[in-house]
Amino acid sequence: MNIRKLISLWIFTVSTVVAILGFWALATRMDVEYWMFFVALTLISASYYLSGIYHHMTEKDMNGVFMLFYASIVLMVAAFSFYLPEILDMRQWEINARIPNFFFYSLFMLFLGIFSSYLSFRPFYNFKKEGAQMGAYYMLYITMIFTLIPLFVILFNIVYRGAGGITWEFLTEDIISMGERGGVYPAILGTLALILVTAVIVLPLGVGTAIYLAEYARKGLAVRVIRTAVNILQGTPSIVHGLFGYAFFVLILFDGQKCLLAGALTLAILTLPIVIRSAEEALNAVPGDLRDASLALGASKWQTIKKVVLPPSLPGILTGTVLGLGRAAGETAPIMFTAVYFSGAGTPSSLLRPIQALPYHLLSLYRLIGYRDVDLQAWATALLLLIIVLGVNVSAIIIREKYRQRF
Amino acid sequence: MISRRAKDKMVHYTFFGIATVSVLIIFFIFIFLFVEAYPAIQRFGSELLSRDWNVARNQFGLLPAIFGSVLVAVGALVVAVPLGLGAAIYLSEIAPNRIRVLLKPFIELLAGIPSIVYGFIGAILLGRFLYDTFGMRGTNSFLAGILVLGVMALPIIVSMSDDSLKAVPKDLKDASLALGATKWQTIRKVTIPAAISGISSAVIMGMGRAIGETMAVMLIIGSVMRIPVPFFDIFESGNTLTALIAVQMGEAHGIIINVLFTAGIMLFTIVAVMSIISDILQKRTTDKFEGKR
Amino acid sequence: MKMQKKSKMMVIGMIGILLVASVLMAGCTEDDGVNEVTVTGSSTNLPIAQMCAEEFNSEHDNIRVSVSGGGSGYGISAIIEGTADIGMSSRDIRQSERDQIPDLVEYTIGIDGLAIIVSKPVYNAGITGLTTQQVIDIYSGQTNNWNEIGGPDEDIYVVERAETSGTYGSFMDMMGLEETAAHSTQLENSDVRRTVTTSDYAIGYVGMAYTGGDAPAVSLDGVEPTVANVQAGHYSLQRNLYFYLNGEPTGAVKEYVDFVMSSRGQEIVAEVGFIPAH
Repeated sequence: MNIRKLISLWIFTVSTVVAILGFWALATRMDVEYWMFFVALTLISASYYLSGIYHHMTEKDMNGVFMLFYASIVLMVAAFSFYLPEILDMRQWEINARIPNFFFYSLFMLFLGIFSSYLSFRPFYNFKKEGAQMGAYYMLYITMIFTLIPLFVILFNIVYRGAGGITWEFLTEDIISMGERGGVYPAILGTLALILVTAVIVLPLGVGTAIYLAEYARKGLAVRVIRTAVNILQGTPSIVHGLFGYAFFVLILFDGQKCLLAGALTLAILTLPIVIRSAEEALNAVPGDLRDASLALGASKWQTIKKVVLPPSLPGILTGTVLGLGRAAGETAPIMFTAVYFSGAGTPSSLLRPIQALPYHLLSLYRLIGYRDVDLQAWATALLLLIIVLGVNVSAIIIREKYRQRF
Repeated sequence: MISRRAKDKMVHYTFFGIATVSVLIIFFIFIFLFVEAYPAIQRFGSELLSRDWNVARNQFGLLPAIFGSVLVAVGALVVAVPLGLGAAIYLSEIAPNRIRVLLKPFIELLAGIPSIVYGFIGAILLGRFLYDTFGMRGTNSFLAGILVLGVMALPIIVSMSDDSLKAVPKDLKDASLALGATKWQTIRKVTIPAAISGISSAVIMGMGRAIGETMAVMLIIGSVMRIPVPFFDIFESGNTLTALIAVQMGEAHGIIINVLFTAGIMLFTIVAVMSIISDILQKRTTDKFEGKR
Repeated sequence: MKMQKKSKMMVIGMIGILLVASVLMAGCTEDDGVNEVTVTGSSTNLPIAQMCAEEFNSEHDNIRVSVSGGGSGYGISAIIEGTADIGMSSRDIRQSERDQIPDLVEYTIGIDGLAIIVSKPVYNAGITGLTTQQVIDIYSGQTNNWNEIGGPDEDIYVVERAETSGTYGSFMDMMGLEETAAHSTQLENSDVRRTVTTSDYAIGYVGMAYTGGDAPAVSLDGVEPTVANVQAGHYSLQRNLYFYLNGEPTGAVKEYVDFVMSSRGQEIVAEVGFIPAH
């Protein structure tokens, strides 16, 4: 490893540290002083000068490096010319915010760090094409990391704050004194009952539609209309499902009474397109040869579907259904007007009675935070909901990975 | 005993019947929303598109909510598209298979978290964080909505773009590589342009999700029927169509219910149009490559 | 062949799971002779109905009272449409609604003072009382900063209830306002309270039961919203809380209403922070 590469590595390390510091400062609202930003800038700029000297740079080579200087100069001038006050009162421009200056400094640090570590790949690869490529790859890693950060933040917070609330009492008792004590037992059962009934409704409809689309349909207007309908259904906002469920199932079918069946029907409509899509995909994955062989042996089309096509595509269909049900289990908007009560509904005992369900329970507890001492219960409910939904998803993914690539 | 042919025909029609259920549902949704919305449309007409909302004076202009829906959706895209696209390119083109298999489920988990949980976390942690950071008036704001919706749109954008990038035929990339282009140049100049309609369809779907998202938004947006001044002031609170329905429906009675159903129709129409556009774009991608295979 | 066997086992497994689950569900069906009482409506009355229902349910094995919120208007329309047995309301029934219920039965289950709450930092900075005019100015947007009325130099964050709620209606009527310049609209009393407590310079209005702790109530025109003041009629923002029924109650519904109106029920009313009706 020669000295030039070492210098590039040094630049990369310094920049990354600056970026991480900047991010950390942003996340914790650390009081970053102006001089910290200034030191970071000086350190990085000096390193680049050093690197330039060691490369005996020609003008063309320096282009990439100069970009950094331009950027840093612009930033510095910007910072100076604004002479950011302690708190930038944006209300003078009728914008409803007062932003403390350390927010800008940490933001500058974050971008400066990322940008200069991105550029450091160029001298490392001696200004060859690989340098640009590795720099670009590096930026893509960063986007990937930033994509995953929210996931970890959410998981960490829910587990950290909710785990203490999951007790035996929490899992086995009904709500006592508006959620301050007791637990969520009826809500757990209610959610399970909801997805069970939903599954019973949606499976025949979804798989039937998929069989039609994959096995029977020829290109034509009817098929295009059906496909468009499925796509629209997939995009339909869940609150619209809720409105429809209320207007049709609750008001007309069940005489104004919220009930388990109305909620399950609404959720079935929500999950239908997911089931159709995955079932169709699974059916299409079965090779045509198998069908031809079966037909050639004299089997009817229906026999072929039943005996040859359906069995191997079953895991795929199940995966899709389970994924759909996972989504259904976590939905609040569709059941809010159609099926649920906060308390008093008890364990589900009839299709025509209201139920309690975990997502709505979380919403109700959230509402009571501050008024009643329900913080822990709310976080525990969120954790439980997450465990159920993610458990369902993970089992679907396991089914898929296990039966993947059969042909 | 029915003949085999007749039986096969019967089975065929049975499945056709089942398949038409989805069409019927769409039809029903529209009809029932419309029936419930009609009294409001008949009574207020184009006033429903005005910017004045005052229940006491029977003014029901939905414009602030429509504006809010568009603002948060566009904002969410600004957050989600650069990140999501980068992550998708990383996953589909660069990541070794081992890492890809590891990361893909994580993205799916992100999609699997219920929206009420996003809303809960957003309202309790993010709302106060932004309040402290930006010294806003209160804890509700468009900004919080934008950030939460951006995170929620991420997995859709990542996985759909990833699919369409993966669908670009290997021949195309090989040809570019054979001409001496680096892998990155190939990605930039060949793979992304080839997958562009799939990617746009992913972006539109992401926007559709952002517009249609309810629970997460209603807890942090503030639910005030007012267009912020100036209109890009994301530190103000406002309302979206979804949050309007979810918050007001709980206590609504009389004509307001009909107004809320009108909001539902608007929402349904906007998202349906977006699904259709996204669908056409996606179909274009598959058509393009099927000829080349 | 092996593949098919696996799939078959999966099918059997799925059916098994479904069967077990439905048996489990059927197991819960034992309590079929249960009389159901549904109570819905105002979220202000909710704590009363809820806490009464919990105690009532534990005493009566054959009756199950389920309570849900949804607002006064919703509660009244629920008894008009017959979707609930009891409608809760925190405002007087309107004439247009009364016309639709020929045999309306009204129970006043308690009295509530509508309290103005502010964030703790504001209260600590000396805003412990407001005049009606100041409240009107704040809600109509003429007063924008706490320093205009002797508080800290901070913008006021104005929180109100959803326009469709009974509390909103009462508040606007009492204040003579038609329009507000609120910065946050919240569905329920507890939402208003939470929004006020999580911001540092906010103001809101809630039922008396929702005050205290991080959400101190300020006095209005020098009168504190206390039980004594409301009972004596000194506090100006007060209203009755109602149970509305369509026809005289019978059976389980009557038992529940009687429980709420009993001395034990009225004790609960006081426990959750309201003023008993008698």
